[in-house]
Amino acid sequence: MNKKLNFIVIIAFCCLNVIFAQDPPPLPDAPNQGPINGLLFLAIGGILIAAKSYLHRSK
Amino acid sequence: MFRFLIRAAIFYTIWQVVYDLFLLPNGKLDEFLSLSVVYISKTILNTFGWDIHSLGRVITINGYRGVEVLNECNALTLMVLYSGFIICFQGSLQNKVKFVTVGILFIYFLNIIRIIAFSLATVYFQPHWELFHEFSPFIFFYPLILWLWYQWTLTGEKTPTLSTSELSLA
Repeated sequence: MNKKLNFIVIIAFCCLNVIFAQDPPPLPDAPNQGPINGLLFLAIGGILIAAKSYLHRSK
Repeated sequence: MFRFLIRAAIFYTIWQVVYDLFLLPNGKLDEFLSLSVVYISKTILNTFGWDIHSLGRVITINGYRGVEVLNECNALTLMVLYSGFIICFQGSLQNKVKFVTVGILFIYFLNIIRIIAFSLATVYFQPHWELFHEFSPFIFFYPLILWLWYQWTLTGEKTPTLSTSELSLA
């Protein structure tokens, strides 16, 4: 009886070890939405507008 | 032109430092912009009879996917980029205040329209939602901002500026 109980405890311990050693389930990712993009194009547009204005004034 | 670029570089550097050190950790400005946009969008869609609800930053038409207004989506960056150009380009202070105020309000209301459009897009063309989201700034914001900037350069050209040769010693 005692031997059987020991066997069960050891097996249960091994099984629990295996279970707890697993990776946790993945957390939900960040939503698939990026920031407002194309800001570089807007900045380039702004520089071009400013350059045009300065060139126009320097003529 | 060179002076404008230097001023702009200083302005955006200061802004980035202030944002990263104070505004981002505080979070209230981003939260206000995001939550108010969600609330107003929801109210407008409700007025037009849409069965819609919101939870925090997420706005959802019942039965469809939700739209979350993240910090990056609240148009604060655009407002600062727009204002930076106006502030750094020459012009009178009074006109600068007018242009910055009107421009920021325009961007804010356009962002509300954009979020409404995103919500309706989940109903009418969900498969193309990502594409719509990606190109939305080019539809909603950039034409207006570029036009306002152009108008500002025209206004700035008309503003009389004193050169050293025009100054006389009293």
